[in-house]
Amino acid sequence: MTEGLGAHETTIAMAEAALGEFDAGTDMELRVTVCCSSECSLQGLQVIIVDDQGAAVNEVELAESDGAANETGDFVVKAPIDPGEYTWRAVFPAQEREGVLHEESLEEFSFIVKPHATILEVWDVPSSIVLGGKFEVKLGAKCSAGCDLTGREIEIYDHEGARAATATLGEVSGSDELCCAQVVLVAPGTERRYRWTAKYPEPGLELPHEEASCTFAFGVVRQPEHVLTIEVVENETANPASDANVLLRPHIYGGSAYSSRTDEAGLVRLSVPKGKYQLYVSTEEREKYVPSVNVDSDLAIKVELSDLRGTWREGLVFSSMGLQPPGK
Amino acid sequence: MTEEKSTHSPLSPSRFMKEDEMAKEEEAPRKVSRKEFVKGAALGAGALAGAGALASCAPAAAPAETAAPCPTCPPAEECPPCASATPWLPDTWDEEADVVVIGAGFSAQAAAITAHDAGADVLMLEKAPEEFQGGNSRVCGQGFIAPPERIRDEYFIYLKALTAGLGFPIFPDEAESDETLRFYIEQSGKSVKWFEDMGADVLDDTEVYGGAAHGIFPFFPHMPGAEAVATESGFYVVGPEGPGSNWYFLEDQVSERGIRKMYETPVKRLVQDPITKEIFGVVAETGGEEVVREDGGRDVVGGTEIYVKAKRAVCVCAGGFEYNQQMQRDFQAIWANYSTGSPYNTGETIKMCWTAGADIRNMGKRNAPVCCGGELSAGIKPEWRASLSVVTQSNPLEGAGGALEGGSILVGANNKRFRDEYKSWSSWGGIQNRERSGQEGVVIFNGDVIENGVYEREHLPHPIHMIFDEPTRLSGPLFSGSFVVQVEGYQCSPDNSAELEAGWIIKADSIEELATKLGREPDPLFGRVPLAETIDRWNASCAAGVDEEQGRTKNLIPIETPPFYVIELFALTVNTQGGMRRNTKSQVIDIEGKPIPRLYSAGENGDIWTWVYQCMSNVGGGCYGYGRVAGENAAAEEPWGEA
Repeated sequence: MTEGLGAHETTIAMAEAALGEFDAGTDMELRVTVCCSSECSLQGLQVIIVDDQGAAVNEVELAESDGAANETGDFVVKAPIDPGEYTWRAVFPAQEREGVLHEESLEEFSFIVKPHATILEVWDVPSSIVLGGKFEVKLGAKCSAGCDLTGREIEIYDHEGARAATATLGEVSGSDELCCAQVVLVAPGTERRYRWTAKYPEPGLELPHEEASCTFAFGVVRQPEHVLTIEVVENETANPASDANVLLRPHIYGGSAYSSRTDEAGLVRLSVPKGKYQLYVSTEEREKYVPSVNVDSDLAIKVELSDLRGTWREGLVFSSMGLQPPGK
Repeated sequence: MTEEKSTHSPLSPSRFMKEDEMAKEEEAPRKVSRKEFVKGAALGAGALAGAGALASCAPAAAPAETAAPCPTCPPAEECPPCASATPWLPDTWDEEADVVVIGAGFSAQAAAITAHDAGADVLMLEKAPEEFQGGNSRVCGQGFIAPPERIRDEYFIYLKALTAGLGFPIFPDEAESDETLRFYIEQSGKSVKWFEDMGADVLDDTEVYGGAAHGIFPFFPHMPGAEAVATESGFYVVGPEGPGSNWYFLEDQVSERGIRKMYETPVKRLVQDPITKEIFGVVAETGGEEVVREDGGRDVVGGTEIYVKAKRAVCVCAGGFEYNQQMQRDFQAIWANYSTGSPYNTGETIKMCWTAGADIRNMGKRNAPVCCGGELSAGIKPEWRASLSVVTQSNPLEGAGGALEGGSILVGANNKRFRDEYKSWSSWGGIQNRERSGQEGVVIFNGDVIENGVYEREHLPHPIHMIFDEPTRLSGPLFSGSFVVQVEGYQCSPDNSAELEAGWIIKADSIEELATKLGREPDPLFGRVPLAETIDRWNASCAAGVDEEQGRTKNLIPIETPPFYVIELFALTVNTQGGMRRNTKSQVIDIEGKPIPRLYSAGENGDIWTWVYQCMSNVGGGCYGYGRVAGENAAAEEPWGEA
């Protein structure tokens, strides 16, 4: 205690505990409260934020006082760049006010700094691609802290782990604020399904970013040889059934099924390889299952939605109960 | 991981290790690989004494000398490999994988995908040709129950009651263990997330059937716990909804992961240590020819024998024995019983595991043994691989219409009717149909009947014949099936004319002629009455509006308009439930209750359903649940034979 001065004890607290996680190098919003044991106003006095190395990273004035409590108001401190756990201190150094020495007080607070997370998405992947054919997919990436990823590269790896292509991210666009790119890929030469991976490696930005990856799948099918035109009509009226789901599966499991929806005229045209298929057409309430459609030339078929939705299951579920699907 | 460790026995390879290694062995028994043995770490003569397997390479030693090295043995590094030490292992392997999965249905897919995702190299061996793969899974209804956590206690009570035989005191010891039921329910509950994590669009029953499943489930509303199943249990199917949707989605997953599959490669036996029962691989045949068995099931024969090494484990997921009529007779006491599922399910892998020491269970149980609702089996026709089903009832619900419009009856070999043709058949629907159709006093479950408190086994003549006339033939398609339609592409002609042409239906201008064509002349010795007498009696009942003989109240329509027709029919089932006993780690259990090392199973073979079957349950628990656990644990086994 300084000779000749009265001394008051003080206490300091983080008004909102600075717990939790922060992206590296981003703003940490803090607020500190200091109280005098004698309820002195400490407005105008200083609070110092000290890092784990003992260095002062910010000095903030106690801007508000209601007598009992003195607050800094919200202020920001930059989170460290290096990811890890940190313990800093909020310090009210000993300061004099009106002949009274207000003693030092401090409080530690801990937080975690993390690398920036990157969201990576791939879309517009064709469900089926011809053997060895080219196809295009769209990619997008976004940093959790809003870093600009323009110009960064996305790598595409195939099912065997070999790099198939790279894509360069463009500028931020769209409501989802992704940096986007398009990339042309070449399908493998075997008829089956594949799962490839898009990766966003650590880009070497000033601030650390997590690696990100996203898988996407597609089927590779034989070259189409014929056009199958399917006309779907409604039960009883024979009117065209628009927007009906059409699912065409090859009898021998291959790279993909063919799916589409009928247009306003109730039509859908599918280019498919020669072979035997099963066809399932459905709307919300009706369906038609055609177990065998042989395609060995261009073919047009008409399908009437003559059955209630779920009829294909009758022999397996409903008829065993002696019941009909709903609506009948 | 396997629970049990090898038993130290006089013939154990560990007799041939160094003394210090033997000391360690006593502390922590381990399996000695063939490679280690071939290295000849220390083939002391004393250690060889009494080892019958190696008697040919070691002189007999006096008991006092058991600890001394054999003076006539060459140094270990000069000792040639002693093939007789492990005669069950081949000199070379033709294929190898970490995990070998037998089958291509739901449980096989679940096991393969899970094992692969755990880092294992997986090889699937499928008996059927590629076009016909997938077992019953590919052609079933696809729906599965995934009970939410909040009702699992009630669901447990419900399943306990079902597996205990409806609580009747005559089946007090049949209830499934609590541990198994809890496991089943938990695993079933995980199936939705499992699909969603793979990117599936999982459709709730309310989206698919407008909530119809909630309207007809549970199948046994009188059982304790049933109310929760009715109101809150989840019923799901993977979208896009349609035939085989779940199976095709899982096949996409198998394909995307690059999991290897060999088709037309039936597995014949396990490669197994006869003492420890440990499994090291399988022997299969590949490149063979598909043949039709005498009973109509499908086999692939004449292929090249191959040895497939399973470095970690084998998962047997090859279905039941629906198309093995001898096994049906042996285990289910039924003359002929057909499924409309996969004709490649002939039960040989069950026998294979049984031979390897597996305990078996539920071999006498089957799902909906008599028939599925109004359908019976027309057997297997030459033109198709799988059995066909025939509709024998119109819909019993008032005003609901139906599949069979017209007069028809069922007769046995004595030309007599033997039941109300519209009485509920199925164990599924026994109680449900009783409630909904007004039939009283009937509780039917797997082949047995408790009617008005009296227990008796339902007597089913074989074969059965359905007699009908021209209006019925023209009323709509009579033949259907699951595998035959969905995989083979069969479609019944609208007026059954193609089926008539093919000889599946016998035609006659009169009932007398029909009887003659059936070979059913009256014979008092066997109680066989004239068929015309049965028809006349039926027609009189229709005219009177009362069936005094059998009590039928539905579709009292006379059979009077020629031509007349008959179809030969047999019992129809959905699937068998019998197979290997397994624990909640999906390990196959031997007759002493111990896991057979490195042998796992999943699927309908050895599933929990005994006396009654809650529909959609084989899939979620027995297939997906046990399959995932089998794959996970198989992949976690330490590889054998690696130094």
